[in-house]
This record gives sequence, C-alpha cells and structure tokens, in this order.
Amino acid sequence: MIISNSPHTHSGNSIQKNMRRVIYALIPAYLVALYFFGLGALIVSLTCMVSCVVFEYVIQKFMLKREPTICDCSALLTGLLLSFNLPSNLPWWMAVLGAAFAIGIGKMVFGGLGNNPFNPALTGRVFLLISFPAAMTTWPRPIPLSMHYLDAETGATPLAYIKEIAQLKVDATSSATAIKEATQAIGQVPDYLQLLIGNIGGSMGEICALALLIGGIYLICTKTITWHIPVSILATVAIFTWILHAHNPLIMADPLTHILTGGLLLGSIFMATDYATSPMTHWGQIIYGVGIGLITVIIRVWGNYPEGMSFAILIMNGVTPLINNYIKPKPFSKL
Amino acid sequence: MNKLKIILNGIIKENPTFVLILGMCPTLATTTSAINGMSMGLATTFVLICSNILISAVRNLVPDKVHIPAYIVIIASFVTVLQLCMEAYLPDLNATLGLFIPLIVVNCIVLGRAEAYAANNNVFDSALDGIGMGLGFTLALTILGCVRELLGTGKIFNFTIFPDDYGMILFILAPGAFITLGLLIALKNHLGTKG
Amino acid sequence: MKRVKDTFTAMVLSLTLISLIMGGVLALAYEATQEDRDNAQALSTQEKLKNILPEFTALLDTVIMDTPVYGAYMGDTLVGVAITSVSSGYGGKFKVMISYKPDGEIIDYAVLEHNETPGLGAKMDTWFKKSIPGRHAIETFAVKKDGGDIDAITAATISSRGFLKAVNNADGLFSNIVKELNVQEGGME
Repeated sequence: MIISNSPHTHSGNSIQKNMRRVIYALIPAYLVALYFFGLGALIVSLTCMVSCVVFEYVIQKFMLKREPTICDCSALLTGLLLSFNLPSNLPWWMAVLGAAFAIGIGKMVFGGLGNNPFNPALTGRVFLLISFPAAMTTWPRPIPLSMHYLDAETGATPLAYIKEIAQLKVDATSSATAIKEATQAIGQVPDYLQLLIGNIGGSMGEICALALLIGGIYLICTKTITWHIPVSILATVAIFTWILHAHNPLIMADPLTHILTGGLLLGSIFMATDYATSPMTHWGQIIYGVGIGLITVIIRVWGNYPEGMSFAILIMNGVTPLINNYIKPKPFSKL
Repeated sequence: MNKLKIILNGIIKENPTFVLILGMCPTLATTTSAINGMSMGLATTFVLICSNILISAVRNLVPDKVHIPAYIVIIASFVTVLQLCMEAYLPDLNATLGLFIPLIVVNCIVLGRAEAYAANNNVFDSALDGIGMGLGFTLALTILGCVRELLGTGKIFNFTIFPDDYGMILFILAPGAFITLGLLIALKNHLGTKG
Repeated sequence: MKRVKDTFTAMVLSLTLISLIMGGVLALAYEATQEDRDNAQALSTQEKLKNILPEFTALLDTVIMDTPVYGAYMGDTLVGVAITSVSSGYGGKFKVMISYKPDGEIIDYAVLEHNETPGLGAKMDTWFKKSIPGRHAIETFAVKKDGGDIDAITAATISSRGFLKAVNNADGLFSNIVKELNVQEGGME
C-alpha cells in the first residue's frame, strides 16, 4: 500500500477488508498445520488468537479508556500470525505471554494499529524465542491428525540440519569424518516435494510452501499486497545462496532448499508486507526486501540460530523510517 | 522540614533514574538482580555523598575555569577508595559489578550534582542532596533489579517466588533492561499525573 | 566568601592542592586496605579449592607448563590436583578450575571467572556437576550434538562446547602435571 501525497482516490479498501483478506490467505496454510500437527496446532492457534483479542480489548478499554477496535480483525490476525511462528507443542501459557508481549509491547505502547514500528506478531515470537529458547527450538514431527499436544514426538527441522552442515565447514576440507558427517546430514534434509507439501518439522504455519504460495498469489491478485517485497526477498536469498552453494556445494544448501525451508515464505509474504512496518514506495520496498534477504542468509549460514527470518524482518522494520525518509514518494506536481 | 525536602527531592521529585534519566549505563547493565542493583546504588550513594561534601567545601577555592578537572579528580579519588574497600571487604560483589564500579567516575549523576548543587550550596545541604539523590538512585535500581530478577528467574533477592522454568530470560538480558525501564517510567508518569 | 578569580596562579594552585590532598587520601586508603585485599583474594581461591579438593594439610601453588596448578597434600602424599583452564564461550573468555584425584579421576570443578549469559551459559557452574565428576582424565568430552555423551546446557551449546574444551585442555595436561607434582613431593622429603 502506498500512502503518497494527495489527491487520493478511495479504492474501496478498508483496514478491515485488508485484514480479512490476509486471514483468508492464511487459511490453506492453517489447514495444513491442523492436518500435520493436529490437536497441538489447534490449541496453540486458538490460545494465541483469543489472548491477542482479549489483551487488545482490555488494554484499549481499561488502560487507554478508548473505544476498542477489536472488530478491525488486526488483533485476530496478529494472534494467527504469532501462532504460525510457534511450534505446536508450545505450552499454552507461553503462547499467552507471547500474545501479551505482541499486543502490549509490540503494538499498544506505540499507540496501536499503524503506529507500531515493529511487526507485533514477530515481536511476540522473538520475545518467546529469547525467553524460552529450549521450548521454542524443539519442534514436533509432523504426524497427520496427531492427538498429541505437549507430549508430541520432536525432531529437528531441515534448517537445523543445514546449520549442522554449515558448522562442519571448518573441518570439512581436511577431515574425512567431517565430510562423512556432512553427507549424512545432507541426506537428512527432506526432498523438495516434502518441503512443498509441508511434511517436515517446524513452526506451525511455516511448513507447507505450497499453501503459503497460494495465499501469496491470492493477496497479490486482490491487490492487498504488491509483489515488490516478497519477490525482492526471495530473489536476494536465491542469488546469495546460489553463490555460496556454487562456491562450496558440500556444506552450503542449494537456493531452492533455502527458499522452501524455515519461515522464509511465511515471512516474506505475510510478515514483511505488514503495511505499518514496511516502506511506502516501491523502490523503498525493494531495498527493504533485499536487506531482509541478506540478513536472513547471513544469520542462517554464519549466525547462532538456524533461522534468521524473524530477526531480519525486525531489523529492517527498524530501518524502514530511514528508507521512507530517503526515498520519498514524488509530489503530485512533479509527476 | 526544609532539610527533609532536599532529601525527598532526590528520591521522588527529581529522581535521577525515573525523572532526570541520568546514569543509564549502570542502571541498564547492573540491574540483572535486585541485590546487584541495590549494591550498585549504594556504591554510587557513597561516592555522591563524599564528593558532594568535599566539592561543596572547596567550592570557593576553585576558579570557574578549572572546576571540571578539579571535581573529576575528587570524584575519581573517592571511586578508587571505594573500589579498594570493595576489593578488601566485598570481593565477590566487586567481581560481579566489575567494570561498573570504576565507571561511577563518569556517572552523570555524580558530576551533575557536583555542578548543579554542591558547587552552589553549603556543605550540610550538599550532603543531604547527596543522600537524597543516592537513595533515589538506589531505590530505582533496586526496583528495576527486583522486576527483572522476578520476571527473568522467578526470584527476588534470591528468594524463590515461582520456579526457574517459568522465568523469561529476555528480562535478564539487555533488551529486558530497556523494556523494564521504559515500563517503570511510564508507570511513574501515570501515577505522577494522577496524584 | 567570594569565589576565587580565574587567574593563572589560582588555577595552578587550586588544582595542585586538590590533587595533592586526593593523592594523600588514595595512598592512605591503599595502605589501609592492602593486607585485607591480599587476604581476600587468597581466601576466595582457597575457599574454592577447599570445596573441590579432598581434605589436605598442605597446598602447593605453582605454575607448570604455563598453567596455574594447585597440588593438595595429606602429609607427604599427593591427594588431589587442581588445574586452571581457560576457554571461550558465548560471552568471551572464561576460567575454570578442575580437580583430579592422583589417578586421574575428576573430582569436581569450579568456575572462577565468566561472562556467560545469565540463565543460559552461566548455568555451567552447576550444570556439569552431574556429568563430569567421576569421569577420567584420559577421556575426551563432547556434547551430544557433536557425537559425545555429555548433555549440553539447554539452548547454550556454545558455552557448553567451550566448557568441555576447557576440561579437555586440563585433561591433556594432567599426566605431565601429576608427574611433575610427584617429583616436587619427592624433592620436599
């Protein structure tokens, strides 16, 4: 969405309509999550959504003494997106804390919808990741229609395997065992088809690339988002990892694996495109997307965490005002 | 009555942490637990009282152009004395607070009070101002330390309130310091506007 | 009393005077606390050694192969060895002391200095007490993630790796250090 100088024409879009469209676009990925993670996914997502809406209502009504705006669906969307970024075996009270942080610190302290510099759902997720690193980095294995919640069987994510391979990079040139270990770990990374349909371990909503892509196409077709941010992120990641892969194919995963794993698609389609926290102009959005792509790959390959998407988006959220300042929409008189 | 006002001024009305927002470096870095926050506060209080008294005593003997170097010499000496004493009698605490003890030299509150108060007031009032400001700083750091320790590890002054597993590690780390400080200042302003 | 004017002499005099006085205060404080400071330092190391070594009557404090080492003797027999070891974790360098029986069995350890994250890496001072003591100096330790059998601290693999590296380093020096300490004991007889 571009907020440029007047004159404006009313496009018939309202906040509520856009929020609803994003929620519709998330439905395919949500169904896949419910299928592969069963009961756990249901409990975590409902907990997040209900607590986000409740916290928004309580803060607006009793602390800010303002008319609650929960009907614009933004709190509901924050809750849904937050749960998409959590493992489905996360204890419910952690999900409640994450929701409280997302709405309270991520959104309301800045003055509510539109004024928050950082994506609230990601703020909540990063808060949980730093606060409860153990619970946030044990992901359940996908078991169709599983009735397990806290007792779900856990396993590593594809990115964790990729990370292990990358950590072998120092020895891989010299030691034969290290090379063997690297080959073994590469063998553990699921093939593209598995990655596409989502039969992999991971956070609730990030597993199924296909469902996320369907949602993304819907959003672009309905003009809810433009292509600039997602495409620039994906292209940057693809080019960067292609260079790394070409340089050392043994220990660097190929571009397609990088794109299909972790929160990359979820983040670039649904989180990075958040109106309030991304740049206003197309060129600004492309710079923003390239930044996210670069930081994500740097964290994935050299950082301490296997996944860097959420940190990358939050860092570039912080840079957004600067981008907006330097790349201003052209005044109407100069068009 | 008037003397009491000088002390209360530092604790509430011009609280160095919550109102003047001075001395942020030790405030954010050493408040990982209530005991650390309180110790840091008391250490700063000691330096504040001593330096306020001496600076006030010599205020008319120091020409204006060299007052900053003169004050810094005085403050730095008291900080070094403090550090020597802590090494001798409280070695564990000294190890925990580490670099932040020598850094009291450049704490804005100490030099700030020397400039703003001790340089223009008599010895007794300056001592009271040092006590007030020091206690205000100690109080703020202790509260900050309590909140962070409680949320981060489930303890207050090492006394367990809820199990460690429920602690949010974020609050012991640097971002937790900023967030907690911001929320406490917001709470203070909220209470201030009401009363 | 009016404030002294900004003349050159006044500036030099006042600064010199203040520096002299404060210098005196510092010297006094230094002298007065010197004994207690030395004691405090020795005491804290001694306290830690007492906690991790078996009962001893004499303590030999020496440096072998650039490593600070403590030999604990009961009468004339060596009953325990403590080796300090430096490694780096998530927050930079840290220092641990590992204690052994003369036959190489690890008795205990103590973390002397560290900068690890509270709640994560900082847990190392108690975390490995259940896995390391009772093992032997000839073993090389690794966390489970690296193919070893030691549980890493939850979500602090880097600190855990650093800690085990410190233990392995001390292990590597152990046999030479024990030889050296036994010789020194012979020399004392």
